[in-house]
Amino acid sequence: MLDGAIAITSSKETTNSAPDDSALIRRIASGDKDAFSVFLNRYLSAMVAFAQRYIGNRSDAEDIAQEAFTRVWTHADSWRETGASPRSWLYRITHNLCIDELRKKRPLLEEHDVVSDDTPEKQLTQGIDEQTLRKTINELPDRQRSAIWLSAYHGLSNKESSEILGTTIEAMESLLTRARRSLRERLQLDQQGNL
Amino acid sequence: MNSSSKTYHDRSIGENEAQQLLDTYGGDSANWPPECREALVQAIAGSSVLQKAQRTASQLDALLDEHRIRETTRSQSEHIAQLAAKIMRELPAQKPVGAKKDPANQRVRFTLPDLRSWWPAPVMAAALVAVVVTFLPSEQPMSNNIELAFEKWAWEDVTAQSLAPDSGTEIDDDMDVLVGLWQDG
Repeated sequence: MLDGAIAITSSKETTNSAPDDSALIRRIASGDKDAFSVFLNRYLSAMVAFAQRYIGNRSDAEDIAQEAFTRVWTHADSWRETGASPRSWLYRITHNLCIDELRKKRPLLEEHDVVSDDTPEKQLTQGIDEQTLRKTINELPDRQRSAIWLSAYHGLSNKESSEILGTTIEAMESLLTRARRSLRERLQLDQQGNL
Repeated sequence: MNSSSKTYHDRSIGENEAQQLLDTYGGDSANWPPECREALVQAIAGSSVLQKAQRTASQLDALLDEHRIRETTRSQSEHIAQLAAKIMRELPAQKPVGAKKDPANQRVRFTLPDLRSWWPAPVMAAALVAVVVTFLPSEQPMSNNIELAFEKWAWEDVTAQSLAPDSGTEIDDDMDVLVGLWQDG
């Protein structure tokens, strides 16, 4: 399920020669730009993709990703070893920036719907086109949508996802259950028969 | 994926619970929590309804997975490298090294906040109290003389004489005194 997940490798999955995220954050906190560059290249794609799913606009998503990494740079000393992983912390910063941006843009987005730009719509193998799937996901309540993105699209564990959304693992699992059930029903997968 | 701390070793799973687990973790048994995997496999093996539910869950997995890979592939453009360079170029200055705290000491900072940064609060509060005490207008809108005259008018004269005929003259006189005192200040 998670193969092909590029640039979202967790610190545990990195090779032996690559510094883990905690070590990088400690170095970033002491002003090490090389460490920041490693951290940036490790997660920038994932953060842009994550923000774009929220905002629906590539340019704004890149701005949000830049702001998120800038905050990591300026606030690295406030990351706590005993708390969430650096990756969860970064996702949470990005998530909160997206929420702020959405609050500003909500009326506009409701008028025009959230449509990803510059992407030709293609039919997926289940007979459902990308736009339908994206629209169905976007119609989910905010937290259910976030749960699906973090879990299914970014391959994060339920523990990490719960840290990002500021909830418990049990609540995170409940969000996932309701989100997947809604998707299954709205996409009418039950009626499509077998694979 | 992590799971909550439910245990399934000592009991079987009903259809509703199995459906809920499939909704949570998808149709791929590799993603099911180890503590419920065996019980869920057994439940599915014994129910055609759950077998169909597993296929549907797998369909949703495949759909999300395919969409994710397409989106991820699209986001891997060379533009990301340009964005990374831009972020590096535009990095603001960090706080001065002397003002930074070692991340290893964060717990100490959390439990013992820097009280030195709080000093303006009590100073400002004390100044505010001093201003209020000094400049707040007195709560005596009338002088004592006026109050006494008013009481006299209201209780002694009026109550004693209001029922008497032609008592209005004395009351009017007292009111004149009252107004005079008021004007004198």
